[in-house]
Amino acid sequence: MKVKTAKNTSSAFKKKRAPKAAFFFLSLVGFCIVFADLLPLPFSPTALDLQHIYLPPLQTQDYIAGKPFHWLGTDHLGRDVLANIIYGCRTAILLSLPAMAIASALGLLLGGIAGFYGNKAIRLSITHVFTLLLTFVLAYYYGFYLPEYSFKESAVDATQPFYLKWLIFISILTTGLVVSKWLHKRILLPLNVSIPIDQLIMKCIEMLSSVPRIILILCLAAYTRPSLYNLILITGLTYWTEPARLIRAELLRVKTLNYIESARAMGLADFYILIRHALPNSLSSIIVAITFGTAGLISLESTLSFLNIGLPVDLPSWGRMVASIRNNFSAWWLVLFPGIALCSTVLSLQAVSNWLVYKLNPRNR
Amino acid sequence: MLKFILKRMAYGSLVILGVLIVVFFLFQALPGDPVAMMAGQRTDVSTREAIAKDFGLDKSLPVQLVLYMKDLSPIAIYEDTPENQAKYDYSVLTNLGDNVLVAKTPYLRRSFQTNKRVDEIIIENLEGTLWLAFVAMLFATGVGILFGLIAALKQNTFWDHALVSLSVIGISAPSFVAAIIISIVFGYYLADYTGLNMTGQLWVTDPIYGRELHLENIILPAFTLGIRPLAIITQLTRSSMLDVLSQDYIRTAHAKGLNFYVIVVKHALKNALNPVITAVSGWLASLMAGAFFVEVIFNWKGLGWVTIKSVETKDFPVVMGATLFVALIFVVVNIIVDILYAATDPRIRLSD
Repeated sequence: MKVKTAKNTSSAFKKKRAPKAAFFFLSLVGFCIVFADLLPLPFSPTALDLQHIYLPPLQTQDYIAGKPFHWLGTDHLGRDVLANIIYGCRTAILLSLPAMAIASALGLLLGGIAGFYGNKAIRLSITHVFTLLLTFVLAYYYGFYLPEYSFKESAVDATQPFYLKWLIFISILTTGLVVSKWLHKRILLPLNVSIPIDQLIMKCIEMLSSVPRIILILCLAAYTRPSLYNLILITGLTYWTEPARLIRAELLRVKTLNYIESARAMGLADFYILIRHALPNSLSSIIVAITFGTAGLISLESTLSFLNIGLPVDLPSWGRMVASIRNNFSAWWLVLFPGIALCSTVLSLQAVSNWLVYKLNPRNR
Repeated sequence: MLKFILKRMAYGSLVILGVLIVVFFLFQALPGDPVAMMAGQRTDVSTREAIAKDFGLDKSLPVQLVLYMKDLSPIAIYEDTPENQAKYDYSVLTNLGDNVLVAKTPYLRRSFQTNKRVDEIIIENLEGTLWLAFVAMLFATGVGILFGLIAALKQNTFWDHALVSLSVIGISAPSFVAAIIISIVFGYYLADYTGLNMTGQLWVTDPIYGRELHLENIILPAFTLGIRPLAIITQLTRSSMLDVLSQDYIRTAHAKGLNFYVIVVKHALKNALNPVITAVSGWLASLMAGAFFVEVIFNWKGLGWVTIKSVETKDFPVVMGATLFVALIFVVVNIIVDILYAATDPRIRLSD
């Protein structure tokens, strides 16, 4: 018996069939997103055709010359499946890309800080911490708490106190900062404490990821007004944990490398090293995380519209098409076509991210 | 080792506390008046005030948080009144003057919709989810290891490519699409041959025969839930098996002239399964949370089903309770997995 030696590089990558197909499909999706309005579609995605509900695809029975034709059938309100699939690309990308942008920006920032600074790099003097805490409470009290009562009596215009509140708040804080600097110079309490910023951020991530993300999004989306902007914010603010974790791990590796040390030796500022040297060198894993996350967000979008939570009802979406099969089980075309569109988009994004992993690894060049 | 366990548990309880605070403020910030939901639209002021007082809604937010935490803690101090006795169902430990130190099951408040205790609702629905997760994991592990083994032994042949491509599709297919396709294909189009229902529950109450166990209803949801773990286990087993098969001791075993199946099963598979088993143990918790859509689509009575139903009816206490419960399971399983890792690998407990 011959034992073959292990090669973990899949043969599909060498032939480059999978990434090619993925890029082709993604460019098709991109074309649909950009030129959806210019395509000669016979129906708009929201147009109802109540005489032809649950029409199977390529149904020629009541086809009259000159009348528009439902290529891929219709759903329970006679909406055209083809138009919905093409415009659905737009909804999927409109949600997932901005949400991923928010998530990766947050993840980059927090993960970068956690990984680069670690537990001991940021040190604050106790004087600063105490005076800042004290002035924060004072500023909140005089800026927000007190005016709420005093202005209620004197019926001042509601817009004016808003600026005033922030002005008072910020000015008290700045005074506190100046005072704490002065106190520190007078060596009142020259003790320093290190802020465990890595621990803090990691505990935050662990907390967020132990609540099932889907419940978090469902609750927030179910109770706020259904709109794309709300959903983008909600998903962006809940999806940052994975990019953050990845970037932290990558930075922990990069930070020990020689060139970072030499940059330190040159006397460059920490933040400059982080932005200019450390982050660009861990970019490959970030790009992979972003493509992978986008695939996840696209399936999240259709899941939410499948459950009819969070997204406006008149937005064309793949998930909404799939949902309408629950009233008529013999309408297979309502699952097949949107399902194929959804699965192939997610698959191609994952294939692209696998290809990127392969390409960005210098050993494979 | 003991120090490591204690430290891990302390961190875990901190995370739980954080989750509790986050969940509490999250549900406070959501729009909607709990009193109106409890009492309905047409109630007089005194009833509303009584309900608000009962839930502590007339107090400030931090006080409410403390009250909620007091409700949740298994040991607490209360005034010994019949109302408190009925509300918390406690057993007295010691008397402290007017108050009593009591032990109780955590009181997660009552459902707005049914007025049942939330912990009862969770326990009632937990059974279905546990069964589903267990059967799905069993199926995924068994079949996944088999598939991974086949793919590794027949590397770079048709079977290998087919299994790897299938597992890639299995990982990436969104769970609701997979669920709806499986339920319609096997429960509707092929129902005459499979004899399965599209939706169903573990216990079906029949008007004539009473409460009956319907084990066949678990097949489709468990299969659907198992697809993703199955795909991941297939890939894990394949790569780790390939890794092991290329090592020296396997070549030695071949050179000794051992039987092929003895080498594969006794020598290679035993070592290749280590990463698979650790991965499986970590997933059981996430499977329980991942069962949401599967439970909704197959109408399977479980934790996810009841949570989504409560989200739709805006039943805050049930959603809060279920969220906290799932988070608790997550944290506890994470701690157990960490301790297991540390027990097997001394480097981990020394580095932390």
